Amino acid sequence: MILILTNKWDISVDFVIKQLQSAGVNYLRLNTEDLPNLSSTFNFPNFEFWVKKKEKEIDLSKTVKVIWNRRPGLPFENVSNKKNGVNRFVDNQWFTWIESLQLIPNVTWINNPTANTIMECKPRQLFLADKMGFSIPKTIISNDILEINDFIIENKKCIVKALYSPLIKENEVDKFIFTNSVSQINGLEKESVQLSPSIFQQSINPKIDYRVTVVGDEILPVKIAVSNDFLEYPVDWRTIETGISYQLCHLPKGIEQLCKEYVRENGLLFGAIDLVEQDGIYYFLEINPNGEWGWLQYPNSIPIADSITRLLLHYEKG
Amino acid sequence: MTQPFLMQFARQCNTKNKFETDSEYFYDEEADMIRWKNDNENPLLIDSLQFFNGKGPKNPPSTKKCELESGEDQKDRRMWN
Repeated sequence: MILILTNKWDISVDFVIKQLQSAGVNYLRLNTEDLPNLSSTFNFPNFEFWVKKKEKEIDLSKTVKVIWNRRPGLPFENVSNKKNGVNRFVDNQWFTWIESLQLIPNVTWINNPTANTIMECKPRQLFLADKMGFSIPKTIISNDILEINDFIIENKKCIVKALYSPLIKENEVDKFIFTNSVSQINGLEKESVQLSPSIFQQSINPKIDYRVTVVGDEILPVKIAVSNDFLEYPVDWRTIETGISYQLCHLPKGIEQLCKEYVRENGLLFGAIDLVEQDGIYYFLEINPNGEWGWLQYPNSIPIADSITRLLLHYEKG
Repeated sequence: MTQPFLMQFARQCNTKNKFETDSEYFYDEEADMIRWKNDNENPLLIDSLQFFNGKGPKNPPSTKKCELESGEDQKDRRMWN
């Protein structure tokens, strides 16, 4: 059986669910908002992990072959005052419950949560990419304004981005920090620079961006094609809402192989890698180990759901 | 209070951070997928998206990177804090 951990409003997963249903495959979708409505018991010794959903009782410890760790969220996702102490307590109990799914023997995780977490670390990503033979931009990670300004002078054009998730959670509408160009930083900003380290990199521009989605042994490189209407190629293509298209393409064989190896050797089965190309050199920027792909599936018709379905079926059949 | 250097580059996301349960969609427990509330037959949302520029859902939930989904980065660890 395939166990899918996600939330109700994860539309991307629906593309795969529909294919699994067509194939008549046994699967269980667990939406984390509903965890408090789930009946579950697991016991030791003689480990069993029972859940009851839709009148069906399933021993996950005996039936699950593959777990798709797609987009688990919080219980009480849509309940107001969810941050009160009691709800936080409940969240933590369920988080441990989800962690405990890792006790189920002989299961393939896509992706293993520990590997996901480890590979979220951007410095680690760069370190490993360099070690494995990718070209990477010259980089410093610093909160020292003097070091940063020296680096900017040395490299002339630089970009800055967040060391961890660039999302700032707010009550209603969140904020997001794209990659931005940066020039010499004014000494008056010393304190704000010092408050938290950031990633500063040599700017590679003009460039061609690629989003390379690796799904098991399959690879789906997508070229981010920007209209010629732009006088200068944008630092971060995500800021563009028109004049951009996404084209399934091939990369040089060596680069494709490197992308697959990077994902596999770091304990992942899925990974969304960002590359840029300039003058024939492909630079590794980062990997999103559980990166979103729905925006490529729809409206851009990149068949990632097909690849994920094949991967799930492969491991479900053992 | 001093703001982190990167905050000067922060932009508001295009979409709200919570799905609106009173929207034009609902999660169908039987189908295990989202449906579009339509006068006639409540089709699966993924089957309705292609009608976006006309007769389909007015504001389909986005899967698009430009919409700055919070789900782009994996947050299994810290989203629970």
